Amino acid sequence: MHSKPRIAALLAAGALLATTGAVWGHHSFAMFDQEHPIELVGTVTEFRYSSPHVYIYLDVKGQDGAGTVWLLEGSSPSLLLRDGWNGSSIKPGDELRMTIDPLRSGAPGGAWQAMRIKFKDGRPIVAPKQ
Amino acid sequence: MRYRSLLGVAALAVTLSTSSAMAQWPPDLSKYPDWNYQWYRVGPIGQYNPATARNNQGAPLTPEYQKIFEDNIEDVKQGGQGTDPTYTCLPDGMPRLMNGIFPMEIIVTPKMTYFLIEYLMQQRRIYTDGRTMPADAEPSFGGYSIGTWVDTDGDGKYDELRVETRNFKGPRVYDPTGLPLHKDNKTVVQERFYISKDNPDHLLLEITTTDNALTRPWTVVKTFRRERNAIFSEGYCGVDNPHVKIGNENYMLGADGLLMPAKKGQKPPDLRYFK
Repeated sequence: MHSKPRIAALLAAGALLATTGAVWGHHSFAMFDQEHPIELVGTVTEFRYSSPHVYIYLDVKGQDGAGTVWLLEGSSPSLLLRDGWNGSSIKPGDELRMTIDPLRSGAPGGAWQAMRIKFKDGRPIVAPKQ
Repeated sequence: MRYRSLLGVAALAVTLSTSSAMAQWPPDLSKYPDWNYQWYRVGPIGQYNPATARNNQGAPLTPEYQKIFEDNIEDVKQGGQGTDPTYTCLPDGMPRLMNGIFPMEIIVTPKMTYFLIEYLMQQRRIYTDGRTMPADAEPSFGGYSIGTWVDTDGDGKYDELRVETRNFKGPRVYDPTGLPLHKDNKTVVQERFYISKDNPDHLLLEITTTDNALTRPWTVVKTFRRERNAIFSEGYCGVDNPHVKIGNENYMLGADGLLMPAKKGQKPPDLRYFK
């Protein structure tokens, strides 16, 4: 018989595997802290629709107004294009709101998944398929 | 003069008969199965044995390699890449190539079957021309593959491709969890490809690995789904890959191209040669 905390832990582990599964493949994403996601709001400076991972460069302003460009690693074009993405889905100047898994080191890098990012005004990056 | 003409005709006849024996074009594919499609992995991404939990896939590792695997898991927990060498874009090699992270295309010809694997733009050549394993081939990540077509039900058409692959180099692991293969690279991979009896659009792969990191041969079954409306894309890895290895540590390049630590508290690399 499982205690409630243990069941909760197992469910959490399952959820973690389910979410990490979308980006594993090329390499382990263990350098990204998937248990402590953070939210970033910023302006895209580059969108690199490259394989095996797509990268978003996001300029995030700190409280002092100074900007830091984060390198954010996502899924692959091979998988995203089948959900309607292409190299123009995001453009420099777009404002995004992203929930990301930050680098464990604290450096400005992280990992993102398509389902956890949208434009700052709430629009989806790619309209869901009907 | 007449003698020279006769010699010329004879030479031409020999040339024609030789070239006819070497290559028939178009090839007769009537005995071969129609597998010339794009195929998608069925099951979890980046996992060698799709029927198990990711970190307990049932590999019968020797105690020495079980320890290597467990040390790898501890490194990954800290943000490392463990034993997995491919984060810097090294090729997967066999048997990891058949994980099918991205789709693959199969092209069957009588003398050769090709696997065009979108992920990292890798390819496999399965020789089916009756040759034997060469003694002097250079070792490679994908190994040297010799296949045999089999008509298992006696209907006069081939329905199964059996492949044996040897002659590897490394480093290779089974998948991103870092499940290791032996450093001696004496791996032997045997495969059976055939269409599922339950679903004509499912290609099954029984893949058996014999390796000195295992206590016995290890068989895993994979399934691929036929895609009739293929979308092809490039899968070159090195274009924007920010993951780098310096010494024995993995780091990441930042948006400005400068080195970032991947692990918490990670020290900078040894810069002794920068003076």
